[in-house]
Amino acid sequence: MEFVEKVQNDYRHHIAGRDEILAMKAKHKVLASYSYEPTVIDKGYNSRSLYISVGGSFDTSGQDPLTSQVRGDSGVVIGEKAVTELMKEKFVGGKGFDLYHLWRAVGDSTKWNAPENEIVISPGPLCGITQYPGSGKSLVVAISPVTGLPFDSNVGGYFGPFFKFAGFDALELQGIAEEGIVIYIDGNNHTVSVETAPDEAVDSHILCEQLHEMYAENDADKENISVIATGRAAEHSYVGCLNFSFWDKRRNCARIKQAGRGGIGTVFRHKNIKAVVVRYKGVHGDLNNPSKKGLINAAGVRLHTEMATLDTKQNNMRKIGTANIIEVMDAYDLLPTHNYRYGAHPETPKIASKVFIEKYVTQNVPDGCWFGCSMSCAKAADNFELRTGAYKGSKVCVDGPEYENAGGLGSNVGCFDPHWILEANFYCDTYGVDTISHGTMTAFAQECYQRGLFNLDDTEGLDMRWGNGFTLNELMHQMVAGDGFGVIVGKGVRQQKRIFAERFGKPSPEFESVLGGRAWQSVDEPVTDKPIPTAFFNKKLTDCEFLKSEGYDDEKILGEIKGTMLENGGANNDSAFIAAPARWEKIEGIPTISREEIAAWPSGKPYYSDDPDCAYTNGRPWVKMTPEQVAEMEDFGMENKGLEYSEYLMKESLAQQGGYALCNKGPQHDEAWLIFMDMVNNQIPTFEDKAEALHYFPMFRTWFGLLGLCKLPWNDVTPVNNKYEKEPAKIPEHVQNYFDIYEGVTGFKHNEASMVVQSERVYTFQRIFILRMGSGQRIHDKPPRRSLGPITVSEYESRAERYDKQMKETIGIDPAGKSVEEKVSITMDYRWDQFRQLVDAVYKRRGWTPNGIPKLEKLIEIEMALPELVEVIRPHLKAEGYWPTGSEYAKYDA
Amino acid sequence: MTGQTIMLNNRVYPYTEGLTITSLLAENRYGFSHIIAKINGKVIEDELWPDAKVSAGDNVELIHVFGGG
Ligand code: SF4
Repeated sequence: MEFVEKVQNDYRHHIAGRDEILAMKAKHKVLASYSYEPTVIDKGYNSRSLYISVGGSFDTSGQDPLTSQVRGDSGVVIGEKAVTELMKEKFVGGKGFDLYHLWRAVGDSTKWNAPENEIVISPGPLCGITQYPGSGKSLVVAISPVTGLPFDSNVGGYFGPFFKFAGFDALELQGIAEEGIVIYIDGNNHTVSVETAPDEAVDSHILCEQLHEMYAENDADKENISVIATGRAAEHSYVGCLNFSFWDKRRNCARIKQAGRGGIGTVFRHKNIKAVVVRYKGVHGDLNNPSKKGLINAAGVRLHTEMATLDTKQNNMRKIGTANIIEVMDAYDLLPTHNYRYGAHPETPKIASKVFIEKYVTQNVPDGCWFGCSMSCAKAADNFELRTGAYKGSKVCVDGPEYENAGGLGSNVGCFDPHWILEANFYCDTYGVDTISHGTMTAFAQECYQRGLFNLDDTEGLDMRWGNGFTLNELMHQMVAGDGFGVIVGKGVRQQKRIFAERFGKPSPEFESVLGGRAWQSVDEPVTDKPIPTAFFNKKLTDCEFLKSEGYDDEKILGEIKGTMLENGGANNDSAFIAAPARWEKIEGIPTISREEIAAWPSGKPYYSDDPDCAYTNGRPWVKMTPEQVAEMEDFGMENKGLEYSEYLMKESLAQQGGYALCNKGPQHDEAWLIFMDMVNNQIPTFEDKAEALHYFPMFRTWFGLLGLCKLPWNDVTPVNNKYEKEPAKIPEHVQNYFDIYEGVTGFKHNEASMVVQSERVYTFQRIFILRMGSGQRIHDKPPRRSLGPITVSEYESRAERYDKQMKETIGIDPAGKSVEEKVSITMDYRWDQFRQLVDAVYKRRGWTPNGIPKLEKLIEIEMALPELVEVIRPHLKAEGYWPTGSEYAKYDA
Repeated sequence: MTGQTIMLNNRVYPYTEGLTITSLLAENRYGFSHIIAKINGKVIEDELWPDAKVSAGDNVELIHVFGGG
């Protein structure tokens, strides 16, 4: 119990006592309540799913019928649907079930904020095992605000297993509630209720505590509760995350794991759902009613033994989790730095895993995010005192840092201060912001600012230079307030590009006179590429003389600040801005145009408009950027399909460039991480080799998402004998473990081929789904230029020896006597051609046309030629000349 | 420099006198904790790396086993 004494997380003053919590609960109005029959899980399946419409009207005619239901107040519907044999055979569970339901719920043009958009959550048939590490995952799917496409995200915490043991294989959440609600699923009493929740908090670290307290019978029962929540920033940002809780009885607090990517938290808030709560008491290892328990136990023992004997020699997952690779990525030039310009930085030792282990992350605690996970990587920093924001001064438990947080909130934004990284990690989680997107979208805005594409007037005083940990956090406080430059940043890189292009241009000289005498601060030169000392951000600053007196001598920034007034405009933060230019009054004579007119409006001519997707404005007239500036942003805005890149530098690995850009949901590395195989090991030298890897690994990784498994135990510990394997990168012993536990639960024997086909069905389905929603063609798989190589002189020069060598030996051109600009151009032309050839090879291997459309023959081969899928691909195949002609295909042409 | 070479991870690499697995790892700054070393297809156990001599013309593989987050 010594450990408990050491943990003094001190934010209880934000959480009401038990009496007040019960008073909060007493204010709930039950809008609908549903009782269901208990089931016994059979070989991993309940064979039914739970459907809830939280309100509103929309077309449900395309959905599977409800087998029973209740209709309550405010349009709330709770009911059940059957999980059919077809669903199990072709979609398996998890992400497969999610996509199956989402396909039927939405139309071809459904937007993320339409009531028919669904959040679907499914745990998968293997989820809930306690004998094998990493078996408690849920998969979450919705139409994403950032991509406009079906998006899947994988998350730990206890919700998935509890929900499954409560009696369901999937949860569909549709509609929009009239007011803030909580959904409560009581897995022991077999009831589901939808209740108004007027007084509960929204931010996750508070709300989860409130709801664990509210729905637990006593303190010991808190462990039987799990909550899904998001936070207030998800209301104004497009990159809202979902938090899935579990009760940490050693710390005596709620911990959270994130379904981070894709903005599903934004959808959740838009639906006015404060939380989904499940309670299930009575967990034990056999609740899946497995077919062959011995196989599961034996596989579990093998992996637990490896963890006990090998982890300290290998990845140290139990000490620091995924953050163990921060310094590894830096050493191999893979740690994204300054918006993916570089892969390493001299200050990385300041944020190395050792620093977090020694200074922040509590050690010797079994931090599993589901029972039985001996990998225990869900680390936390306790007693962490916040410097900014709504909870300034509180000592909190930070769930992290994960590697991605250190990369995204650290090196990629040039911040090498572990405190600011952890502070941003905390606020991302509790406010409901995806840490990865926050890092990448902040880095993009920082680079725009430092290139001089906009200035302090546009950011309302926020200094966007590398390394500004204060700004990194302040952007989130502004997202919560729905006011300030942070609201624009919070829309993600794709929207930032549009908004900057529409608003932040510079007026042409002939239009300067129409500004009513107000000066248009402008940046002609890039500002100094130098971190600003964060100590200067405080409200004592009244003008730039203060900075000078502190020895700060950056003329550029001082010039910008000079003459602007300091004021406290920073959301809920009392030291938000170094300077806050006064907002603009409307200027007579500048026209207000409609959104449709913007496209044809000339650059440099001020105008007013509105933006339903980003209402925030500082009142200044808008000016369109020049086409050259717009093109410039395209080169280094690190998004594809609307999703921000995750935190690995991919420039030197062609396979990983493909792994990112060809990912169905956008550039997240959970489909493929091939950098070592490709760049370092050189195991996949040809296009065909890379294409094979870009087939096998995405299929293998898709499989985890079908079953409810965590990927980390697959490769974050490696068996001793792996070195003797023919294909060590696959870690065949662990793959066999998965086949064993699959057989153990379902009774079905798998091998590599049958596993790949099982995944291919869902993977291909998702590709056709995104095609149906207007993406899924070759043009949509095009990456930003920076992902392929050095696009600036400084990037090239930083690794000139490497690039010159490549030019000479690989491209066959002598770099001698060429300017750096010429060399950048030659290198990038070559790399675009390589990427083109890679895409050809991957599409071919996946059974797709050169335009990226799955062929009919492929659907037939994997037994997925379902009429609704054929209907989507048919016009594309015909237009491209790939519709097959034999008589056996005639029946598909109806 | 002798002008002689080895193959390292399928790429031509200069051979120098006294080359071992350990020195190759150091030269290439391969500090990752989980690397499989092979000389001419034969696995070299970790504890033998300092003495595992590499000869000119050898095919050396230093395979990093890591599949990403
Ligand atoms: S390996 Fe880590 S993320 Fe995966 S289940 Fe275990 S604790 Fe959770």
